[in-house]
Amino acid sequence: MAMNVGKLIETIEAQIQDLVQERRPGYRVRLSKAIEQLLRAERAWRRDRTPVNPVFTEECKKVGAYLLADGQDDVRI
Amino acid sequence: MRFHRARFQNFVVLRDVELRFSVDPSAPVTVIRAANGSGKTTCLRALEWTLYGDKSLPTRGKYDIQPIDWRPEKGPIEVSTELEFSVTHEQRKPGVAAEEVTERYTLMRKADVRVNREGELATSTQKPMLLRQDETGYTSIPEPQTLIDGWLPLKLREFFFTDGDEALAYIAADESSARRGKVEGAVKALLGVDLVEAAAERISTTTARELRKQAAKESGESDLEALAEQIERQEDELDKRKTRREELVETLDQHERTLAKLSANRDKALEKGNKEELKQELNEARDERKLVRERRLAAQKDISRLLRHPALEAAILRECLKTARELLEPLHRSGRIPASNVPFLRDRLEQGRCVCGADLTADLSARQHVEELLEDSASESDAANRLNEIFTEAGELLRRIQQPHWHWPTFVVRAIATEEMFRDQDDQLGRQIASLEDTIAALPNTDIQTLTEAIETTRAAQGKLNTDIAMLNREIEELESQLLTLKERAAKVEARVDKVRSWRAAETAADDIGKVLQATLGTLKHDKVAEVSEKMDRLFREMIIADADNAIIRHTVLTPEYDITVEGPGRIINPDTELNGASRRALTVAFILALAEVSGVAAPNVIDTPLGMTSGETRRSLFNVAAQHSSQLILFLTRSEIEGIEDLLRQNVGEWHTLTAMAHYPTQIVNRSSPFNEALVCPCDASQYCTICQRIGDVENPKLTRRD
Repeated sequence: MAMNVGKLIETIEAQIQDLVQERRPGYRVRLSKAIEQLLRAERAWRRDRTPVNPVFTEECKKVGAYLLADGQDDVRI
Repeated sequence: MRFHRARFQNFVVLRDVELRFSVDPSAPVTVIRAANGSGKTTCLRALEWTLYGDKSLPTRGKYDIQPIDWRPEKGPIEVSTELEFSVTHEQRKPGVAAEEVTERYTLMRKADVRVNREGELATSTQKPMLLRQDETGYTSIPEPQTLIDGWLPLKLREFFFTDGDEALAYIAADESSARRGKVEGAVKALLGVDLVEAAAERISTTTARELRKQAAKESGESDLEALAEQIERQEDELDKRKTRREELVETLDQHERTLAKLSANRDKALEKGNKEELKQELNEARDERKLVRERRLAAQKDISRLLRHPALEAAILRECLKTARELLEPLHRSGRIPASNVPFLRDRLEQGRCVCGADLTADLSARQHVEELLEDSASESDAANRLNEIFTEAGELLRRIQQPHWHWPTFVVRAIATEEMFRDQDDQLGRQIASLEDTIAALPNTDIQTLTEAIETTRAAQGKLNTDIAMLNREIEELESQLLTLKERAAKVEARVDKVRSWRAAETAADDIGKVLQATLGTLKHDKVAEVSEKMDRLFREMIIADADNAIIRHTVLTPEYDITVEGPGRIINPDTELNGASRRALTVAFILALAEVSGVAAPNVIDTPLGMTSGETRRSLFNVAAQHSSQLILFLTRSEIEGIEDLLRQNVGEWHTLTAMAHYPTQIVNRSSPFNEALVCPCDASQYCTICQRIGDVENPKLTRRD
C-alpha cells in the first residue's frame, strides 16, 4: 500500500466509529483488522495476482462470526 | 523508506561509484553535484534499475546498462548495483499499542552483458537479492520484488524519482484524455483511493454476491419451522401410541394375572376332579354300556336262534335217532314191532276161528288160549307200538333232518362266549358307572367350566391385546423411523441454517465493510484530496513567493476530479501552457511534497535538476520548502543550480557528492583521474573542488576552496 497504512487505517477506523457504532467494540476492532487484511489482499492481487476473492470471503466470514457470537447477526432464515 | 547507501558497478559510466544518503532528520538532503553529462541521470537510472530492474529503463531494454567503453571482444561483463535502505512500519500486536519498527535491507541486482551467437548484445538480468540485516547477520528475503513494489510501487516511480525536465510534464494533462493521469494515479495510489475503491467494488459485487449465493444455496431447504412442527406432530402421535401401548401392556399384564389366577383355581379344581369331565365320562360309560347291552342282547338272541335252529335237532337228535333206529331195526325186522298179533288175535276171536283151524267158539280152551295170547300181546303191543312209533318217527326225522353245512356247536359256543364277553363288559361298565356316579356325587360344586370359559375369554382378550400391541409396535416403529428421518433432515437443515446464518452474518459484515470502505473512499476523495490541495497550494505559493494580492497566481487547487487548476486574478490559468517552467517545476514539487505528506508516505524524493529554470528567491524558496517537507530529499544539482542557495545547502544537506565525468577532460575538467570513460565520485561540497572534480576556472573562483 502506497499510503501509510497507519494513516489509512486511522481514516477507516474513524468511519467505523461513525457507521457501525451500534455494533460492539470487539466487532469494530475485528472489522478494522479485516479491512486492513482486505486492502493488503487487494494490493497483493494488483502486485502479483495473488488470489484475493477467497481472502475477502474468509475475512467477511470471520467478521460475521463476531456478529453471530455477539448475537448481533440479525439474520432471518 | 530511506536510502542509506548505493553502489553502482559497471553501470554505464558508473564504473564503481558509491553514494551515501543522509538520513539525518535535521539535514535530510543529499546533494549529488554534477555538471550536465556527468552521470546524474545515469545515477537516477541506476537507482531505479536497482529497485525495479529492466522495467524501469527507458525504452524497455533498449537502454544499454553496460559500460560505454566496454567492447564485446573483452568478453562478458557483469553489471551490478546495490542499495542499502531502511523501512519503518507499524507493528500491531493484539493488546499492545502499535509501535514503529525499522528494518534495514540491502538490495542487490546483477546482469550479465554479452554478445550472443547472432552477434547481438544480450543482457540477462538476474532476479534481485534482498537481504534483511539484523543483529545476527543477513537474512535472504524471498520474492523481494513483491516487497519493493509494496514499498515503492513501480507505477509511482516518477513520483519518487523525478527528472527535473520531465517534472514539467508530470502534472500536465494527458494529450488524449485531457486528464492529469499521473496526478490522478499518484493521488489514488498514495491516498489509497484506488485500493479502497477496488476493495469497495470487490466487496459489494464479488464478495457480497458470493456470500448471497452461498446463503441461498444453503437455504435451499430451510423450512425448519415447518419441519419442527412436523416433528412435533410426529412425536405427539408417537407419544399417543406409546401411551396406548403402555395401557394395553398394563391390561395385558392384568389379564396375565387374571389368567394365572384362573388357571391356578382351575388347576386346583382339576386336582379334585373335573365334574363335567366325569359327567361326560359317565355319559360315555353309559352310552357304551347301552351299546354293550344291545350287543349282549343280540348275542343272546343269536343263542336263542341257535337253540331254536333245526341244526340243533341235527346236532342233538341225529345220533340218538340213528341209535334208536339201529336199536329198533332188529325189532322191526323181526316184526316185533309194530305189534300186529293183537288185531289178528282179535280178528280171530271175532272170527271164532284160529289160524290153526280150531273153533274158538267152541273150543273154549283154544279161545282161552287165544284170549290169553291176546291179553299178553295187548300188554306188549303198547310198548311195541311206541317203539315202532319211535322207530318210524326216528326214521322220518332222520330223513327230514339234514346235516347243516356249519357246525352248530361251534357257533353256539362262540355265541355264548360273545354273550359272556358282553356280559362281562356290561358288568364292568356297570361298576365303572357306579364308581363315576359315586365320584361325581362326592365332587365339590366348583365351576371348572366357568373357569375354563373365563380363561379362554381372558386368553382371547390377551390374543387381541397382543395383536393390538403388535400393531401399535409396528406403528411406533414406523413413526420412530419417520421421526428419525425427520430429525436427520432437521439436523441437516439446522446445520444448513447455521451455515446460512454464518453466510448471512458474513454478508452483513460485507455490507458493513462496504459501507466503511465507501465512507472511507468519500473521505479520501474529498477530505484528503482537499487536504492535499490545501497543502499543495500553500507549498506552491511559498515556493513562488506569491503575493495573494498582486501575483498572477492566486490560488492552486487539486480538485476531487484530480485536476490541478490555477487561479489567477479574475481567471483560471492553464498550468500546462500559461505557467513558466519554474512555476510548473515548483507546482510539481509542491504537489509531490503535499501528497507525500498527507499520505504519510515516508519515501525519498529523488529529483534530478529540480532548480533549473529557477533563480533568485524562487530557487531558494523552492529548495527550502522541498527540504523542509521531505522525509529524505536526494537532489542532483548542477553547479549553476547551487548558485544562490549555498547557505541553505549548508543548513540542510547531510551528504555531499560530486560526480565528475572523465569524458569532460580536458574540455571541462582539469585532471583525468581515470583512464576509463567513467564518472568518478568525490565528497566535495558546493564550496569545494578536488583533483577529481576540479573544473577549469575553479582555482579562480573565490567561492571555492580546494578540499585536499
